[in-house]
Amino acid sequence: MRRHRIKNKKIIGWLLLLPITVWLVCFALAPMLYGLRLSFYNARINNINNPDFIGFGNYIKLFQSADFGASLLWSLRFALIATSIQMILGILIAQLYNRSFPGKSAAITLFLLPMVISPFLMGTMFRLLFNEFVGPIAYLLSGITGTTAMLGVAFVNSTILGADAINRTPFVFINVYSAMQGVSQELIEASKVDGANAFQRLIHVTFPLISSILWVTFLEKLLASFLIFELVFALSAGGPGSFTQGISIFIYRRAFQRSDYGMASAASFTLAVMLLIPSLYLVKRMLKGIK
Amino acid sequence: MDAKKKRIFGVILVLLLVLVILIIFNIGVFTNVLTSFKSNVDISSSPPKWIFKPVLDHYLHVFSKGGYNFGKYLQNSLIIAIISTLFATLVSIPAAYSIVRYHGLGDKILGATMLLRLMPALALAIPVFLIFNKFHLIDTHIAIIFMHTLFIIPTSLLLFIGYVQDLPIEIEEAAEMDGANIIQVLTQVIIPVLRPGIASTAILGFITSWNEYLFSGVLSFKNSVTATVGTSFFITSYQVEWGPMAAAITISSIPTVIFIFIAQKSLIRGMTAGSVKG
Repeated sequence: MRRHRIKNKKIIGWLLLLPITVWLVCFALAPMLYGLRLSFYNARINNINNPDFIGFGNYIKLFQSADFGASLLWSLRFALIATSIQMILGILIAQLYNRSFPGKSAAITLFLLPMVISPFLMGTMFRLLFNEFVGPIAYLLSGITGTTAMLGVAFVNSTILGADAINRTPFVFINVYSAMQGVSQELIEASKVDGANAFQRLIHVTFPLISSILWVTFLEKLLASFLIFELVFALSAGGPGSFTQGISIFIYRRAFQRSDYGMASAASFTLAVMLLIPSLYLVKRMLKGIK
Repeated sequence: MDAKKKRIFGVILVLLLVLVILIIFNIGVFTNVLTSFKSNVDISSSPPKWIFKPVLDHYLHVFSKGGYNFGKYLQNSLIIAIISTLFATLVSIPAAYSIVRYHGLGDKILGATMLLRLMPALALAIPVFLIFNKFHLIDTHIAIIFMHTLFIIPTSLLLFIGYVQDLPIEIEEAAEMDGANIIQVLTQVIIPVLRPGIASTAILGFITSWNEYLFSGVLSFKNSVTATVGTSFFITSYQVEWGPMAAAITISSIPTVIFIFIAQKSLIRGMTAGSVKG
């Protein structure tokens, strides 16, 4: 009787997982396996039902292409710089907000506002505001930059970094701020009595207590920035030319503008393999927090 | 007296800093809304005008322009976001319940959904486009709904796990004692108790779907175009219609902005799910 109940319990546990499993298999696992298979074929729009098997041909072409290397390098540089800027800004602003002041609740809402707007809409918006001829923000900044050509070669990378910082710093902020709220106020008061100034309190009291969250946020941000697509696609579309072509734009162009699905799949699997180890590490860290 | 003065000065300084930060982070959104109310002459005037006579032309244009059916795009966004959120909720609640109360396979599924969140979306977009194309599902609502559900699931699952963990197991045990089966426990005990949590999770799901661009864009060209994708239609090879574009962006952003004002707490819980307890 008892054994029967335990067995029953196991079956119910599985049945409850059935819908999510079906969804993951049909719309994630199966397409990915199909994509992996495509990466070994010369598959274009006209022969997609009967593509030619070419073994590692796509991968070989990929590693020989200067375009692919340049895209990886752009993404890597962007991820490091964008993440550093946003971590520093996010931490400083969280520290500023981590005290009581009038109107604080509204101030938090307004700071989170740029984060809930779609990155694609944000990119489109900045494309207008930074336009060389009609962009009001480009005009405002021209006093500092000396030009309104903010999407030209000289300034386009900074423009993207700025737009992404506005869109994504609130994410860092809200994680750090929530963590800071969990730090006991008594510890802070005690260190005040000991004569620590605000900066020393941040470095020696708050940071060690929230280091694990900072680390997870940093990694999550780094991975997301490395794969940035929507904001850049709307803002510069990888241009001028392929000057701001990161790895995601590279794949998008190959797949949906040149219809070279085999090559694009090879690039996306190379990317997935590169990201697998840091991603698995991050998932492990997050799971530890949930359980 | 001196200490009090110092404190007041400190508060003023903090308020000033907060104000400057808020201006910098929101000037883009603000300027975009301004642009949407400018006449075409005012938009192209240099230096840009900050004070002008507001006109509604672009908003009227967006809704009435021949062939450009923004009302339809908004309707598509609404249908897709609501159904995707519903599917994701129906799939995630039993899964979360299983992960918390029945151990085993669930942990692997949880790991897989979290990994999905970090993987390059384009690795999925290419095969999904080709498969849906084969099944003649391109430019249908259901194609986009299938994919948006997939992207809403990870955050929903994380949130529901948290909510179920907070429930006392005793009420479920009492229901089971009374002879309720698992379906009855879920529908008559768990779901009613979780109602507030479900509502805030649904808001996050709605925003995820509403804001998504890559899959909505790749999987549609006419009938199932969403508002987010539709804003880019003002950029053609011949010209960019800045005014209507600014108006379309403003309209498309309204639902998400409303949600952040009414549901800030749940939004924060969703955004920090996974990392805060880590």
